[in-house]
Amino acid sequence: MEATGLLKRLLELPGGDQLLRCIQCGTCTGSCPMAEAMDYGPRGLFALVKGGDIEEALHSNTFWFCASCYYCTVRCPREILITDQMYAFKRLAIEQGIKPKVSTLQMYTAFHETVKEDGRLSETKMMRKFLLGSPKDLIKNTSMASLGMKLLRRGRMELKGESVADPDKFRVMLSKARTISPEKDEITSMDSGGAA
Amino acid sequence: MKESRYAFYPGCSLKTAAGYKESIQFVARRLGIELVELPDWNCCGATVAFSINEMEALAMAARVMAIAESEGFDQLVTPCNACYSTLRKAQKIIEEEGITQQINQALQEDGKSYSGKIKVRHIIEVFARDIEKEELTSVITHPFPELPVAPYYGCQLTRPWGDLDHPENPTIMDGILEASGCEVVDFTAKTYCCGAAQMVANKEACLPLVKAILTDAKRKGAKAISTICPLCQFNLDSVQEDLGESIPVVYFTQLMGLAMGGSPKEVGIGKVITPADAVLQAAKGVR
Ligand code: SF4
Ligand code: SF4
Repeated sequence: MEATGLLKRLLELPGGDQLLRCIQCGTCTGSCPMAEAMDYGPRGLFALVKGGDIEEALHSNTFWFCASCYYCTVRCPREILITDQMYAFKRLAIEQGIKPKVSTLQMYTAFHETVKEDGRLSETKMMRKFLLGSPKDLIKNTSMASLGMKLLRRGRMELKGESVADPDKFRVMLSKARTISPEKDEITSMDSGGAA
Repeated sequence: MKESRYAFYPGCSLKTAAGYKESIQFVARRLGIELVELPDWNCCGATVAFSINEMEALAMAARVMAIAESEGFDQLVTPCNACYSTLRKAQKIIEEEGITQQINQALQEDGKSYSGKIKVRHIIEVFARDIEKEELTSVITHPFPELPVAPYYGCQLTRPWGDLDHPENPTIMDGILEASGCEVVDFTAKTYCCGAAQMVANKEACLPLVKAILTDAKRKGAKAISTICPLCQFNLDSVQEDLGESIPVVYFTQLMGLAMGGSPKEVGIGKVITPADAVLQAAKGVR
């Protein structure tokens, strides 16, 4: 029943029903620059959804590897807004507490936290947060230090971040935006129906 | 000239970009264009905000556009592909879903109000379309005598909508580069993806993408790659050592600026990582 609930939930997302139009032609996967890194290409992901295996779909790394290049979207013969589907998958996976094995979510979290603090993104601050939250990337990226030095020498390292005039108000705005989310409303109603 | 004064949204990456800011300002000055930086601008949210919470993403983008509106502008220009597509995407969603009012309830908390009337444009449109060709050529005092250049557009200038130019084969940069004396090479990889923000989280998956772009540029005889987005420039430039490559990746405004007689310092070309010697040598030829 859980799977049915999630599938329903996915299809109810804005544009989620588009997935049912997919004819499995493979144009998206054939166009996707990140397909090789993915366990399922976009086509494979949609095959899972159409087959009702939404659990497997939400645990795939497909959407975490998506670079939002929109190649699939402009080429899909069924005019499915595939990139937007990738965003919807990411949001649903986050909401369901499904943690990807790749570092994308840690990077997103670092970005998001930095912007919530300052209203603007300091790359230095974001990288610090990301690497602290993802030690395996710190070890992996030995070339990061030398790149950092190159940027520093070229005056391209932001040592003091900028912020909006009133970061507190900016944060209140974001919280307010979260409460008016129509998606949030749907989650609440789905939860009361599906979780029991 | 249609306009000479624009609201300018730099986006978060411009201040650390390799001379993009300097060269944009230089070129704009030479063309008599005033770029007015938005006061109190915020991060547009890029692809990250949309991956986490759609309404938050819409509010962030709307706040930027609201500031431009309140400053009395009807056009906002940005030099970043990601900012460009993010703002436009938000504008479209807010309109299509009919949620301007809800978004404004959030913006109100920060004293802002959004109508949706502002037109979002990429800075390349200003230089390529709003400036008459004669006007441009009249300030190109030092055209490159010989410099084959691969114009790299990245993804989010023309996709997903394809209204500004062809989604897979744009040519909007060509005229500018030609006017600057560059020879524009036929470049298959011009809208291949550089990996964008995935370069931070999943570098190994992105390196082959960059390799494909650099290889295609070299195979077509290019001596330099011209870019229009801070993230594209950074990705194509910063990993060349990992890939054993060495082809200069500069901004189109740096090429324009040099062709307008600007010094290497004035266009910030010393800030790129892979040495831009081929470009500087070609520029020297006419000095
Ligand atoms: S390109 Fe469109 S129709 Fe074809 S497999 Fe992908 S999503 Fe389905
Ligand atoms: S938008 Fe994402 S899924 Fe589509 S082709 Fe690009 S990387 Fe692949």
